[in-house]
Amino acid sequence: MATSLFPTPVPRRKYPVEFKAGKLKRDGNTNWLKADERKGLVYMDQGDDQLMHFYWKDRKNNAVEDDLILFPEEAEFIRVEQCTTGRVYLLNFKSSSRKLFFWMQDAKDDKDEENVAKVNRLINDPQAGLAESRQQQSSAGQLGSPFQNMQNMDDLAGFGMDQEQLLQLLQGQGFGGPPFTSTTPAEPQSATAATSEAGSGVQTTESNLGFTSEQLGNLRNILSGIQVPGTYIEIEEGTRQPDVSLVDVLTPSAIGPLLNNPEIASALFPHLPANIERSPEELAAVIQSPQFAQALQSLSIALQSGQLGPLLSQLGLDPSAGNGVEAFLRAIQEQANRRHRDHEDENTEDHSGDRMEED
Amino acid sequence: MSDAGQWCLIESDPGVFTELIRAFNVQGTQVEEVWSLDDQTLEELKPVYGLIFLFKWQGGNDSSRLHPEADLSVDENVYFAKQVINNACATQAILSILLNCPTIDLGAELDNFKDFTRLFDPYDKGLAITNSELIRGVHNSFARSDPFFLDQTDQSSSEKEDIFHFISYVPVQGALYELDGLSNGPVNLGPCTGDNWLEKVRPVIQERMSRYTSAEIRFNLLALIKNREDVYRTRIGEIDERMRHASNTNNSSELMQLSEERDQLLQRIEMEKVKFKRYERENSLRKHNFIQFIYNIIRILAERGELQARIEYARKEMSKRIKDRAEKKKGESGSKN
Repeated sequence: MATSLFPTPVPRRKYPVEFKAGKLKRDGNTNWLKADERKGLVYMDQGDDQLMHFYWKDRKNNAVEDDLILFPEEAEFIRVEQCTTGRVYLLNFKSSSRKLFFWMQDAKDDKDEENVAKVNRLINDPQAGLAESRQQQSSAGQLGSPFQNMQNMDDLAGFGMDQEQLLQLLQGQGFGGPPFTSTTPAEPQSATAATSEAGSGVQTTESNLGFTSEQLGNLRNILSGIQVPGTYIEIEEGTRQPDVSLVDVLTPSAIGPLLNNPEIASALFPHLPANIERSPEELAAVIQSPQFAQALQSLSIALQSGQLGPLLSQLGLDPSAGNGVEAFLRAIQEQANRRHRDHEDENTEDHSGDRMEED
Repeated sequence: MSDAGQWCLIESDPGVFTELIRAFNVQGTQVEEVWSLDDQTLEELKPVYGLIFLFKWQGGNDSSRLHPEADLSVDENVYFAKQVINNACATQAILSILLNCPTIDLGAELDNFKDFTRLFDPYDKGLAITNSELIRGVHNSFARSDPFFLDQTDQSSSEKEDIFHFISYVPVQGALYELDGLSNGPVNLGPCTGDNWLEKVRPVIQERMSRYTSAEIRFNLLALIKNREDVYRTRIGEIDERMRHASNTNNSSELMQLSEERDQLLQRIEMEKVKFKRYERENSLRKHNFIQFIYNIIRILAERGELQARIEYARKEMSKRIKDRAEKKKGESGSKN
């Protein structure tokens, strides 16, 4: 695979970091992002002002569209975890709510990590970052990537598919699975492995390199309709102090040990589904189940929506407990404190008002 | 819409679908997720009664538009119902297969329903499904019992905007049909046999996939298949027959091979049993209202003076969550290469 079939392009000056990436834009007034389909390049360099600049340019017309000055520690370049299908990264400004999103357009993802690390190094410590990249470039005499002769596959990049998967698509072979499950994020490697293991007739890479023009035409037709999958991701707006999630409050590791206490376990047994055995082991399994996590998450969301006030008064809580997860937790704490005081207080009056009766 | 219109959303999970079908009193079937369309995977699942394809709905792409040349005239052999209610599509997709499969034992209630509505036009069939107490009751038994789920606030905001749609593929009397409750009629995709219909459906689904890939990879393919345990038991019966024959002819090597096969089938039956136990458990947790349970754990933490520390922990977790996740993701993808 060492010899390229195509003449090597005339080298131009390499930037300290550069990689093919497109932009994502907010879709109208929504919190959704839509891929800008133009082929682009993200790169960073020291400007004439000696400051570190972050650029995005359109690879087609070479027009630089974004030119941002980044001061050390001002921003971070991170992967957007919510996007499980494409490779989307976020330039996140720590001091403001400004966010820029990019999707990787290089067919292979093996350089992503390195590039991201370089970006962050250049942001945080520009001089060290520049020195490092100079060193790397002078020692770089690597062979071309095996995919060099696939330059016309450029368009495919960033769709979360590798070459082989695309070919499977073209050849009418099924994906190994992940691409069409709604629950499992796509893992190109495993998908490929699964399909070829199943002996479904995936051709070898070499033989696939010889596309007929018809095949390429088909490919283009398919691709022309493709936006980046999974480009609709939500922007996390950092405007409001985020509420906590019950998922973090009641982690299995935090509440698990409590369940060994027989008194606590038996206080919880009545609240298990009827067909679940009443044992500490089962309790432990329940709190580790995805369904319980889902319940915690749903309840968190419901509490944040502020719709639960009336329901919570059934638990003897103040309706204000429905104003969010923290409000809910504080209300339960106050209820416990109140009960505690009532106990201590010998000349206790009637305290049935806000007690839970049934436990 | 009135109370009749209240249909909960249903999770696309083989355990949920399997229980749903059982709750209709349909015998001898189960639902499995299909991970790949290759021959071996499909072979393993046979007999397959029908496929259910789930995808993110984008307006205006119903089956009749995707197959403009298709003949949509309602063939009286095909049970086709228009989808009248949004959230009912999971149930509707299941029914599209069940009501088109003469080999499935539907049970008395669904049998009656089919008989009763057989001559209705597609819209009236859809209304009948919507108004059937049996069907709605079973469907809604999967509504989580917490009151707030009826408001559908359980959908995180990112999911709220996504509408998923289910369509079915089923062979009916020598032709392959795509049944989409939003389409104007059943889409006849051409002739097929009970043996080759899966081969015929593969390119159709792949075409769908490539189409929807254009927006987002959110697919799920489920197969309604014959109950595995029944399948394995039948095979064991056949093996027993052959073993008798082999022992009569003193063919010890064949005997050994057969008994090995038999053991494997028994093992698979055990695995099926474990799986169904798991389904049952997951479904009961799914349907359970955990609010009392959660409240009581928090109350216990509060009484023990441990709640404040948990809140602080959760605050920290939340503030670094996005960052942490991004890094973890990076780490994961790195270590797999």
